[in-house]
Amino acid sequence: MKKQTLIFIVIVVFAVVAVIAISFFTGSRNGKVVIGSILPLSGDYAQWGEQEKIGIQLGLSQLDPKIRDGVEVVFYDHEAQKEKALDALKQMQARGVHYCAEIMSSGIVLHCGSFFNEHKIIVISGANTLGLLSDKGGQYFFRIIPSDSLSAKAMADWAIKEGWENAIVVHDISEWGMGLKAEIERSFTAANGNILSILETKEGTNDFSYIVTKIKQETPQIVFLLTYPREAALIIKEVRSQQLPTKFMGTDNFTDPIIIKASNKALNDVFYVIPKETAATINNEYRKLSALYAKHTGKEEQPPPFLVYGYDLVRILAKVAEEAGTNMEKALDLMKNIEFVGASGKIKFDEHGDLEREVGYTHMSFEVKEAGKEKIALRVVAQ
Amino acid sequence: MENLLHGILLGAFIFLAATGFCLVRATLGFYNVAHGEFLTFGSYVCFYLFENTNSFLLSATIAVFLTAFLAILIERVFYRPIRQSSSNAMLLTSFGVALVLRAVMALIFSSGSRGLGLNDPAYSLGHFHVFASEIFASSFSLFSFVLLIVIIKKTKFGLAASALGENYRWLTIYAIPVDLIIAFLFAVSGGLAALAGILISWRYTLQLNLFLYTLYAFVIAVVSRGNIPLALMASCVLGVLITLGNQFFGSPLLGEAMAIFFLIIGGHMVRMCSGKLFPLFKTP
Repeated sequence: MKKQTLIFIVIVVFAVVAVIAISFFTGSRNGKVVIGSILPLSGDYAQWGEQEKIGIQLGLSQLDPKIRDGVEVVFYDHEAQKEKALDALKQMQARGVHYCAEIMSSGIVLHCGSFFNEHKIIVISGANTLGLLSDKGGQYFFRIIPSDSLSAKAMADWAIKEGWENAIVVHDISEWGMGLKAEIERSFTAANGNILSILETKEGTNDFSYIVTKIKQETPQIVFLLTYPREAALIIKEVRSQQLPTKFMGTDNFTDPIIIKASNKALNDVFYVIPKETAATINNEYRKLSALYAKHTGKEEQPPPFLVYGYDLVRILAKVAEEAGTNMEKALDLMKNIEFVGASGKIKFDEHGDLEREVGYTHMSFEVKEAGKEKIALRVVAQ
Repeated sequence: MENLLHGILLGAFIFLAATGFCLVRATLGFYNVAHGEFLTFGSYVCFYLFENTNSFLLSATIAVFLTAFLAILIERVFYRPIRQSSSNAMLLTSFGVALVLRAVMALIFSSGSRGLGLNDPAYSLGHFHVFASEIFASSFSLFSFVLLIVIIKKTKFGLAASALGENYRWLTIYAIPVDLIIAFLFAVSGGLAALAGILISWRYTLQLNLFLYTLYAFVIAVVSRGNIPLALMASCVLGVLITLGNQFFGSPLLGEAMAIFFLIIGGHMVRMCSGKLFPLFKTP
């Protein structure tokens, strides 16, 4: 009797373990299609990861109930570390997950590219702008954010149009910064601009006196700041403390609030370009998202760019996943032919997985009304 | 000249960050790796209080005292029970403490750099420009340096603290309140770290990861072996080397690495040539 009970218990335990293991290692939970999302949810970039996570959650909430009930998003925290991101991808692959709504950071995508392409995991991104990803991302990589080559061209053209032909380039040493630097070099020199010096910086740096010295020596008409917002703010603060009338230009990461808070609010003659679609409410989708975001935060403020992209990309992926399931050939085909109007604009991919449309850039600057607190406004210079 | 002054001002921040590290190294003979977390804790507490009270002075004062209390607590809970073990055991424990503190702070405070939101006016001194935060950092560095020297050299308390580094057991035999002295040293260490963290956040930005300053503090403690006057000199030299290195290479990646390399090599050479400099913590 005792022996029979023991055998019965062993069988029950084995069955329970088997059921758990099967549900764990397959991409569907309770019949749902699982979409992974690999974001920095802790560490220095957590705020950007959190923004996109909220966008993804808001996007999910807006799906057709039939699709929404069949989709589940699982978030992984890569802490801005390549190995952790690759590990998350391996976990996804082991669970049979074939769709990934974002792997944040261009360098990390480069690191993980061969894995997700080999295992046929579709990755869609709204954060990685590195120009190189057009080729190196592989056929399973798609992005709904414009490549750096476009923003670099927008910056170079704007500078030349204003007559600022002599420039210093300050760039971060990450893959993103190096890539953007290469694009600016190409675009600016092609437009007959003259690059006087190229200086490096890295995250966490506190000494920028070498940049000030170079600016004093070479008196450029414009300094391209291709750095993370913290470093850009501190460079501006340092240069302005010396009362140098240098003009600065950067990309859409200048929308980060740290630019205002850490630069001593010395933001006269600081310019940046931003994709038109995230600069103004241009369609109903954006207005709808703005209303959702206002409800979410309880404040009347514009949704940050990563949130907008997260909102769009999860809806695209859910639609494709719902239709193609685990048939990745079909999923790939659907992605290549998708036409979607989201809050970030019209989305259609070219043969590289990049946006196939004219991407316009809005020229922005900071308007310092008064040196007091919260007196800095963003000003549209040109559409 | 401008670079030299800029480097010395950078050295003032480094010295404030490193002093507590050096104090613990000199007296207890181990490198308290968790010291870097005191910088972060102090700066975040100040930031959150400042956001709510709008009084920087009040926020900074509370943050300094709270960090000092945290340092005492950590010494009491983690270090005191193993004080009689080897310095390696203490070092490993401090790694663990640092990891726990970092994780707890990451949970409590949202990560990511941000500005303190306090204006940092710049003043002109001829061709040279100095920020208010730099004036405060250099003043506090000098003040804490003088105060520590006076306490260590002129008071019984300081003498006993110096003796701790020589022979811990010997002091207990003479009924000297060792626990109290060590608690006080940790309080000073934590308070100074908080002050450094607050001033760094004011001058630059608030960051959960102040690894660079922990690294600087560690290098200073290694080079000076906990000797306070030597730590002040080494901090200024490191500040100048970083500034010159960045100027020379046009990149902080190489500039900072070379500065640290030359400081360590230089420190060893000086020690080899001149024997022990400034034997401040030696018992008479």
